[in-house]
Amino acid sequence: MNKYLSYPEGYNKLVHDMLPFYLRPAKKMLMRLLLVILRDG
Amino acid sequence: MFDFEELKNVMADLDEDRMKEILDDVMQDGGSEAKKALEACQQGMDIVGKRFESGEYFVGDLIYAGEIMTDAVEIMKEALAGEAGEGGEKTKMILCTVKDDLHDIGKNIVKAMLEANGFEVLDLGIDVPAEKVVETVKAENIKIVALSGVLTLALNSMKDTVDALKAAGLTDVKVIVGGAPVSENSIAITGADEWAYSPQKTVDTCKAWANK
Amino acid sequence: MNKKELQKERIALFRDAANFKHVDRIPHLGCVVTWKILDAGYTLSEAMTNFDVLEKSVRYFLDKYPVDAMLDIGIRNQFNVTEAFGTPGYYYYNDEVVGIHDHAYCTVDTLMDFLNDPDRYTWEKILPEKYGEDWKKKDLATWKKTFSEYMKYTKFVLKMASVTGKEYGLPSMAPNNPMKGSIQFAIEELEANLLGIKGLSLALRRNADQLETFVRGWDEQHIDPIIEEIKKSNGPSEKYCFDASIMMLAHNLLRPEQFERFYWPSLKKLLDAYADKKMNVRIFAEGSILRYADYFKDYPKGVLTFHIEKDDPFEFRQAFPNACIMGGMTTDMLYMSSPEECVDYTKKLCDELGKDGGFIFSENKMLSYKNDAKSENLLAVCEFLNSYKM
Repeated sequence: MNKYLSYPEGYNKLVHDMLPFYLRPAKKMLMRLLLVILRDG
Repeated sequence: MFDFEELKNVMADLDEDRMKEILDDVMQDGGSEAKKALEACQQGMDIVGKRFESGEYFVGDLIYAGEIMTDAVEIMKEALAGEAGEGGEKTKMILCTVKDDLHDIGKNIVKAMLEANGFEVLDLGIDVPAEKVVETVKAENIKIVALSGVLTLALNSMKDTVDALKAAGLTDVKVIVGGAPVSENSIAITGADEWAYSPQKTVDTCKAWANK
Repeated sequence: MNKKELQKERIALFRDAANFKHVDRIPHLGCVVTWKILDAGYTLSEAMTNFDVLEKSVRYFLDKYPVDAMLDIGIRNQFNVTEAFGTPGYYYYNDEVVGIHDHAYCTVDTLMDFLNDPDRYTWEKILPEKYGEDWKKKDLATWKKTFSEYMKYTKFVLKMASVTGKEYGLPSMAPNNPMKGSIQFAIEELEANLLGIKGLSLALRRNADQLETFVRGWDEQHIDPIIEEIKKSNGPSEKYCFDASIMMLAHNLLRPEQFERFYWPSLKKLLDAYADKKMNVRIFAEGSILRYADYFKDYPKGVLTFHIEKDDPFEFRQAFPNACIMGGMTTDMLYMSSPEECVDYTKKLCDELGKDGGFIFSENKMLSYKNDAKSENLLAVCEFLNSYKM
């Protein structure tokens, strides 16, 4: 079972696992555009 | 017994709710007047086309009209199923969006209006290569082809299609081109016989060709 | 003149033209997208996932065609990111074409779900529906690979901004940028993504009240905060050619009363805020905007610059005397005519529309395909504009 599917728990876990620690402070901005690319692109 | 003029005007005015009420009544007895009702809707669509040309209706209205015309046919389809071909031949023609172009909304509006005006439209879909058009023209003995496109590169694909028809010796096939990039220059660029600045122009031109 | 000074000079040219001040020469916004890749001798297949090729295409274009600004600096498509994710998206490409499949994320009944929590709706509805069964299989390795490509893309965006600015002296058009997003009105988002053209056309008649509720809610989240920022700002920026950039397309679909209900209130309050601060807004009005002239007539000169597509620029000047015109050169002419004819028409545009400011030259469409222009025509026009003294 993919642990990243639920929101917000799965999503937050993905962001934590995916982003290098030094980018986590900017996670909101970074994830916003990434999701737009994956959603609209 | 339904009021022909009322249904025609209801369709022209894009009054979806009233149109559905009338057609539900028409189908109460199994649709004995379905063919006449369809004709009323078709005349209403004709008015829609003219209102778009005159600037009273806009693109969103045309899309909506196409949708409710489709709904009208759907409501009456069982009664109309046995009517195909009665009362005379329909002119068969091809309509498609050309190669490398995936847009279909304009094409679908034109299709609804052509069908409303008595054409049997072979809709080949989107991203249609020239060879497919030629193949279908030959197989179905088509004399009228309408090509649609939104991207500027559609003009190249339209030219390719016209060239392919000529190369295949199909010089008696009439071609009309339409869509966003199309203008008067497009006849020179593509080799088509006519260009359409509106769906109504497409309908009027195809009717004139069919009557010749 | 160094590149920084050239950049400042160009910004001043755009701003003076937009403010109806006499300019020594008419500035040129190069409205050129994927055409420049093909002109540089590459196919789109080669370019779309190769930053080196994209960069070379941009450099080739800027070395050859003297423009004052560019609409696209090679960053419009992010195929490396979507391809790393592993499932085809809406965009597609081949050697000559980049296109997009129609799509719609919502129905009328789910619009408010989207608005109330877009991140949740995206995560729980849009992405799973878009990617189907593949969505459940996206593991951490796939996400990390996608994120890595996304960071490379981000670096490429910043690099190209630096290349075009520092090496070529090109200014940015407006503060909106791909990282922050551009101004998007509800009706535009509805048409482009949320309902699609067909869904919106039907909803405008069948679900007008629901649409209006959505539009007002969207404004609260997306337009009102911009207005608050404008009110706090110091007015026009000298770092950009314009203070904002807006794309308008959905107006082509609408009846007058639909424009009045669903579009104008949002657009007006934003434009009023810019006008109060004497800031200048560039509006890319795809299709035709002429029938809406009356709505914009009370804005004084210096507020609105319309980048026009289908509208005739001379008719436009009559209908919108206070709006700076951007555009004028058609792809028909750039492809079908001779260099001399293109230059003659360019001169006519400059002389008749720009002698007292109020005109910025550009192409009427985003040059995307090889037959959108002939190289010799575009070059002749660029060289003319670079040297023609007003």
